Amino acid sequence: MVRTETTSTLRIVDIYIGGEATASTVNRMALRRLSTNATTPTDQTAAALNPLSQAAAANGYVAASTGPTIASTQHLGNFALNTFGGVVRWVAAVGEEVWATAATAPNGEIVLDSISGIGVVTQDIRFEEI
Amino acid sequence: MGVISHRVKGGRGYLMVDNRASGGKLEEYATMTCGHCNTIVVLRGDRKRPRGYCKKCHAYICDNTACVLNCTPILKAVALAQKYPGLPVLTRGYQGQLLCDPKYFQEGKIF
Repeated sequence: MVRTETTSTLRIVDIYIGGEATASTVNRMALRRLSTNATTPTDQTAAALNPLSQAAAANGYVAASTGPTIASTQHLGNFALNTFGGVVRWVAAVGEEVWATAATAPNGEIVLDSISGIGVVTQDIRFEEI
Repeated sequence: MGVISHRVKGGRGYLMVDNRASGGKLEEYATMTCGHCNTIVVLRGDRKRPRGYCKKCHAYICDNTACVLNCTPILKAVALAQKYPGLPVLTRGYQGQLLCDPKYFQEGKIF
């Protein structure tokens, strides 16, 4: 998941999902917004692609004291893969990124998780902060 | 118009699904992102119907009825989300419907 701060805006430019399951397991991954943000998320500091870049205000997280409520809304994207070595990569064209801003749900956080299948994956969400 | 112009003039997004390690195949698709609801749309080559396009904001749009009926440019939605935190301007209902009053998108509009 990626979450913005009240003063930050980001746009997702690249998504990578790599399957790590040891047997054939199909996952359907969905990119969605939240109806209620997570409480006290354990932040994962976003690493800069350019060493000269300023540290990002936005953070990622995969754990929180109370998980988010995921909105029963339209998915921003669906990516199905066999997690037994499967790979998915989506790259946005210029001007076609996925946006999040201003911290507050449902605009401030975006989750990429499996809505079907429990295969282990690693995922990488690259974003540009505005 | 700088950024928005790229939506039409520029290239497409890219989606790769590689399932060769599990006996599947490598699939590659062009994608676009709806200029109204921000949904990623996979462009299948065998589609016959024309893709949506908004003449007001000069952007490709998806097939959702709300996106066809209302011009809700994503950059305007981002600006509204910053002005009214919590207002569901960036998200859509499960049927693609707007979750906020479309009047917000008229704010500051000259024409």
